[in-house]
Amino acid sequence: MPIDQTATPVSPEKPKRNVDDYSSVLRDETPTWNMLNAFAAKPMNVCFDSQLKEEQVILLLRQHPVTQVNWVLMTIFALLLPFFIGPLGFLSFLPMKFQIASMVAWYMLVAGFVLESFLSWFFNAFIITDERIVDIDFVSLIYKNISAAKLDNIEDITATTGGAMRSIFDYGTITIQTAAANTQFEFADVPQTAKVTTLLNELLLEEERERIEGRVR
Amino acid sequence: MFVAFFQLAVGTVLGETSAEFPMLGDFINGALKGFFVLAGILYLLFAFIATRQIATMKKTLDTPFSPVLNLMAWGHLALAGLVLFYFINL
Repeated sequence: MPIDQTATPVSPEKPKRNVDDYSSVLRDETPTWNMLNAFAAKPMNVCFDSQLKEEQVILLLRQHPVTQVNWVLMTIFALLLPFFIGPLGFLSFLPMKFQIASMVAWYMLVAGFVLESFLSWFFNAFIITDERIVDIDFVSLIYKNISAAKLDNIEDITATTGGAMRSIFDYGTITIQTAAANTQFEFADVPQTAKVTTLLNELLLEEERERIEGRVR
Repeated sequence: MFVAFFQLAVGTVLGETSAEFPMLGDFINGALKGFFVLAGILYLLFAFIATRQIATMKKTLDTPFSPVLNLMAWGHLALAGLVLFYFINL
């Protein structure tokens, strides 16, 4: 079988095509350094702990930023709250030193809330590599769950986009049925679901092609 | 209702009648300080867990933003320590 010599990187033992060679979605995307992007195509310098040597992260997904508006608004409200209730003398029965301490404690609580909310968004990531899909769930500070499935095991991909906000901001939920131990993967509220679905289909086709051409690893 | 009652009770003890019942006033002051110190300790624990968790998650998913997150976590921990120190010295 002819091997595409323009593809990079290519291992002599395991010839592998570059994702740009077979994915129309990623061909149009430029590699990104911005790790706060909810749709980070071809992210630079991103790796995860169970990543294989030749495995390449091609897409890093997070929940759409618009889904984070709730906690951002709550934070703004919490930051401004002391300025509104301060003049009402709500804590005036306390000595001044305790009033100041209450204020400090309040702002520390807000800082903790912001930190945990941000971490929850940042580490709840969905990774698509050229070999697998990986779902990292950072539920709370003391609980996390990581699931992975080979692309070969994907049986069904469903993208759901419903509601005004989802239509306006172009985000939705992608449900992937697999034959792996974890039978269902859910990429919740990720942006550009059409692109992600197309990419997954292109990856599945490439896996099929690899199998036919005897390039299975 | 409850808040108003609490304000009245604590305010009365700390303010107007503290001269008459200095020991009770001291007790309330001590209890309030103890409450703040306990809250500070719990917050420091939370900040420490957050720091450890970020270090663990950095191993799970390493990105160019990880050093910034690490810095944020350590800054937060240092701030929590300072706040606890402030509460102890109330």
